[in-house]
Parts: sequence; C-alpha cells; structure tokens
Amino acid sequence: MATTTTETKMLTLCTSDKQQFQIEETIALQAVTIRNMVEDECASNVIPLPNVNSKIMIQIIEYLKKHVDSSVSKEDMEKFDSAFVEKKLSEIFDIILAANYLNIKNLLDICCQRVADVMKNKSPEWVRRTFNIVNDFTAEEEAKIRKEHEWAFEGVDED
Amino acid sequence: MRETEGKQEKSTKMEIDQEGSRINSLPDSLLLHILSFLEMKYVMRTSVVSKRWKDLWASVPNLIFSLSKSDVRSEPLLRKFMDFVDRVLLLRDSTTIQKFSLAHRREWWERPFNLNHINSWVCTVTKCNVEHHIVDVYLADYELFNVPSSLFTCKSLVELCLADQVFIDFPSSIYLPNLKTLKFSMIGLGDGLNQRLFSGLPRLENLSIHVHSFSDEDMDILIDIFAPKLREVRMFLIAGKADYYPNVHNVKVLIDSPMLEYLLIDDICDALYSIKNKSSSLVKAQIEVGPDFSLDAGRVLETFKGVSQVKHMELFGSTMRALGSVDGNALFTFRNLTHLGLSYDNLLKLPEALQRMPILESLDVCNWTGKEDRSEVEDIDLSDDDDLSGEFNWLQSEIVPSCLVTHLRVVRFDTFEGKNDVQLVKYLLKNSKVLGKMTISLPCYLSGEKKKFHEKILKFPTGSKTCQVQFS
Repeated sequence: MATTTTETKMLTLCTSDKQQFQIEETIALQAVTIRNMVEDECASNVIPLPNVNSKIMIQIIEYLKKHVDSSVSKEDMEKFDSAFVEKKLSEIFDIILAANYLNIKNLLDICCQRVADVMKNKSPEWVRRTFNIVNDFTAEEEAKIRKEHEWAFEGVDED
Repeated sequence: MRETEGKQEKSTKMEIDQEGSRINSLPDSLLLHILSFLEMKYVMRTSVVSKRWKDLWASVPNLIFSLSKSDVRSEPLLRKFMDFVDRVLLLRDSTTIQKFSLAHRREWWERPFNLNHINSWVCTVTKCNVEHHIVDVYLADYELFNVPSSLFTCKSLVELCLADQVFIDFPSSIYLPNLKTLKFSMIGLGDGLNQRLFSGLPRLENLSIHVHSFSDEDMDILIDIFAPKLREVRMFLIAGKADYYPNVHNVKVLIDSPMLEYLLIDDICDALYSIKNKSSSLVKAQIEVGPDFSLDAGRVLETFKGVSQVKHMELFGSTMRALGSVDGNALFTFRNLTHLGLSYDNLLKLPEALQRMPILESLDVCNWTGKEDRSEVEDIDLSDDDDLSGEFNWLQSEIVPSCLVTHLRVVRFDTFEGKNDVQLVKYLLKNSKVLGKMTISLPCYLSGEKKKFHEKILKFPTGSKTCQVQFS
C-alpha cells in the first residue's frame, strides 16, 4: 500500500481485561461515548473502557467497521445486521450492555429487537423458563393480573 | 450409553438456561428498551412473569396495538381488545408516548371499530407529546372518520400516518414544526392540500398521499405542494371514474421542492403534474398513468419535462404510450438517464422514446402483470420464419437511437410473453453496438420448449461483438 502524507489517526481502546485495541478514529467515533471523551479531550492516548471486555469488544469493532463504510447499500447493511445478531442470547445481552455504555444507538436497537423477537407471542411460562426468571407471585396474584388484561393472553403460541 | 445421552441433554438445557438468564442483570431502562420493540399485547404478557416485571409495561414509550383478521370475527374478542387499549392508555404512568401504532386490517364485511373509541384514543395520545402517530385502520366507505383537529398542532409529532381512507377536514391553523413524514389515505379531497397547509410543515421530508375520491363540490382540484426540505413524494391519485362516481375532476398537481430526490406518481385521474426542482436533485422517478393520460399532449409534455433530469426512471401502465405520443422533434431529452425500467404494455413507441435518452446504459423490461398461466397470454413465437405480423414491427423501424450505438450495455427481460417481445429482442440485438449482456428469464410454463426458444434467439444477428445472451 502506498503511504500518504496524511496518516490515518488511530485510537487505542483498553478493555476491562487490559487488552488494547488500535482502531481508526473514524471507526471508534461512531460510539457517542468515545466521541464525547475525544471531544472533551479527557482522553489521552489510551481510552479506558472498564465496562467492556475484549471478547465483546472484538464483536463491536466488527460491527463498527462495517457501519463506517458508506459504500455499503442499505439492503446489504440490513443483511449484515440480521446476520450479526444471530448469536447466543448471553452474548446479545453482553452486547446490549456494552452498546448502551458506549452509546451506539443502532447496535442497541438491533440487539434489543432480537430479544423482543424471541419473546413475541410466547406464554409467560415460556418467558420464565427461557430467561430463568423466578415466579414470585402467588397463584391468586397471578390470576388477578391475567384477569385485568384478558385480551393480552388470547392466542398464545404453543411452547 | 443411555446415561451419556441423558447427561448431554442436561448440559444443553443448562446452557439454554444460562444463556437467557443474563436478562436478569439488565437494568430496568434496558428491559424497557427491549419491550419497546414488542406489541403491547406481548408486553402485557410479561407483567405476570415476576414482581420485577409487573409494572414495567406502564413505562414502555411505544404503544403498538394490532388486531389481526381472525381476532375480529368474534364480538367478545373485539370488545376485549377495545377494553385493553382503553385500560393501557388510562393506567400507564409515563406522560410521553414516543410511538402510537394501531393496525386493524379487516375484510369489509367484518365488524369495524367503534369510531368514537379511535377518536378518543387519538386525542389522548396527541396530548402525550407523541412523536410517531400511526393509525392504520380499515374503515368502510360509509363511515367518515374525522381526524381530530388537535392532531394538527401537535408540536412533538415527527411521523404521522393515517390510513385507510379517512376524511380529513384540514383545520385553518396547522403547525407541526417537527413533522418529517406524512402519509395519509383520504377520501373527499377538496382544496385542502395547498401552500397554507405545507407552510405549517417546515421540516417535511417524506410525503405520501393516497386520494380515493375528491370532494363533490369542487370540480377543479389543485394540489399545491411547496416544501423546502421535501425529499420523497409518493402521489396515488386513484379516484376512479366509475358509474357510481360520474364526476370527472380537473386535477392539477404542483410540486415545488428544491431538494426532491424521489418521485412516485400513480395516477388514474389524468392530472396535470407540474414539477419544479430548482437544484435538479431528483434522481429517481416511478410513473404509472392511465390510458387517457396521453389525450392531452400539453399534460404529457409538462409532466415529463418535470422529471427529465432523473438518472433512474421506471414506467408502468400506459406511461410509455404517453411518452411516445410526444412529438418526435424532442422538446427535451433525459440527459442524465442511465437506467430505464418498463412494463410490457405499450412498447409501440420505444425507439422514439429511446432517442431522447442519449446515455442510457441499462434497460429492464418486466412483465409486471404477473400472469403465470399459459392460457392467459399470447404464445411466444417459436417458429423459424421471420413472421413480422406482430402489432408493432420492430424490425422495420428505421430509427436507431444513439444510446444503442454508444451506451446501452445491459438489457434484462423479466418473464417473457408474446411475439412482440421476440421482435423487440431481435431489434435490440441487431441495433445495439456496445451491448455486453442480455438476460432473458422465460416463463415457467414454457419448460419443454425452452431449448427451441434459445436456439431461435441465438440465431438472431447481433450488432455488438461482445454481446452475451443468457437465459434463466
């Protein structure tokens, strides 16, 4: 590759497990939290991200690299996004927490949409089992809530 | 052996449990974000999973309600649904609503909503600083849903979609300073779509209008759109001239928008379109007009002049006939047009039309009627002789548009039909000097005879040395 006089500006991100990632500034600045740190000049050479581990950071960088590319068509970007969220739920939740902390709106949205799609038309029992949620209602309490919003419990999918 | 299988099963189940259990470590704000992508029905179901989830629904900013066709058939279910929406609006504790969406697609014979209910829902939601207001409810023709006027001064509104077939009596004072998207499908349009309305929508970018009927009082209808930030316009003037609707209106549409990028016209009212786009930002146009559109040459000329700077154009219905009807001594050229899409109808004047497109690179001809049964269509001519008895005789045409000589590289036929198309293929192959690729997708009913057809096409003389013909 030919070297140009203007070098691409790089940023170093340091994750919770002390791994360092060198990435182009334009890629990193899509995360509003990083942009604010750079703009406020409170970031020195290395930007600490104590809430994100390296395993998640690698995936987030993959996402940011794709989304910085303005030549990708809207359709292809949607295809990339839907393939990107085909992950285990535990990973999706980690990315949700990281995207929320880093303030990357679209990434947060597509991951939350993925979880919402899993819950769609499922019974409360299925939701409890899938997400390991402990039912702390008494039978009477639960029946009362169900009665209040009867329509919501019509036509539940088979588990 | 049995034991190992059991263990494996157990470990996968454990994995699933651990996979999902991470949700419990999310703060409420993120649970709400997840719930905001769900219909309210499913949101409400989560209120019984545990005490932590019990009241989350009340803070979800998006209220999405939908009633499917099967739900409506039963009267008690419809009543339960109405109660549900009423209770959600009454009992939720957050004061702002980001998005309200009500969808109810029903068959005409099925029981409709009580309009008073919808009206009160719309008013309640409007008071909650709603940003996205989407009411997609199929109402029968005889019921007029009067859009509450409070909706037209809702300062928070970003998106407003009103369908299907609502009656809108535009109030005298309209001010929606943040509105970017406006879509509606209305009946009884008078002179309401005028500059006064659009001056109250300073940030409008995306406009989509379906007009199903015009007002009986006004015979001259003027739609006057002046919007400085408008980028996309979709105009569906589909008020038919049926027996029960004898009035023929004289409709004029003015669009003045310096930033317009995309325009769709679907017209069966033979309206005159006058499009001003000072900075020539218009890139793509899709046009469909009825058979009588071309009766008035002035109308055709004015309409096409307004879109003559586009790069990408698709013409449906009788639009090609209209374009071809303009006097051959071209008064304007499509100087930027590189892509043209056409439906099979009315290709009679195609060579004349191509003459006005000097840099056309790709041409798509598609069978948009979607006929699949062989009995419905004219047979493709598979005989070897040069039968030139088709309706239009392409091979006899002496016109060779300059774009065929210098620019046209890609031609695509999507689902072939009739002998005219064979002649068009012959004409294009013979006269295109720089054609690189022609793709022809044949209808499935032709299965056994495909090979014969391929052979016939491949025998045609080609004007381009590099041309490849592909069949699919």
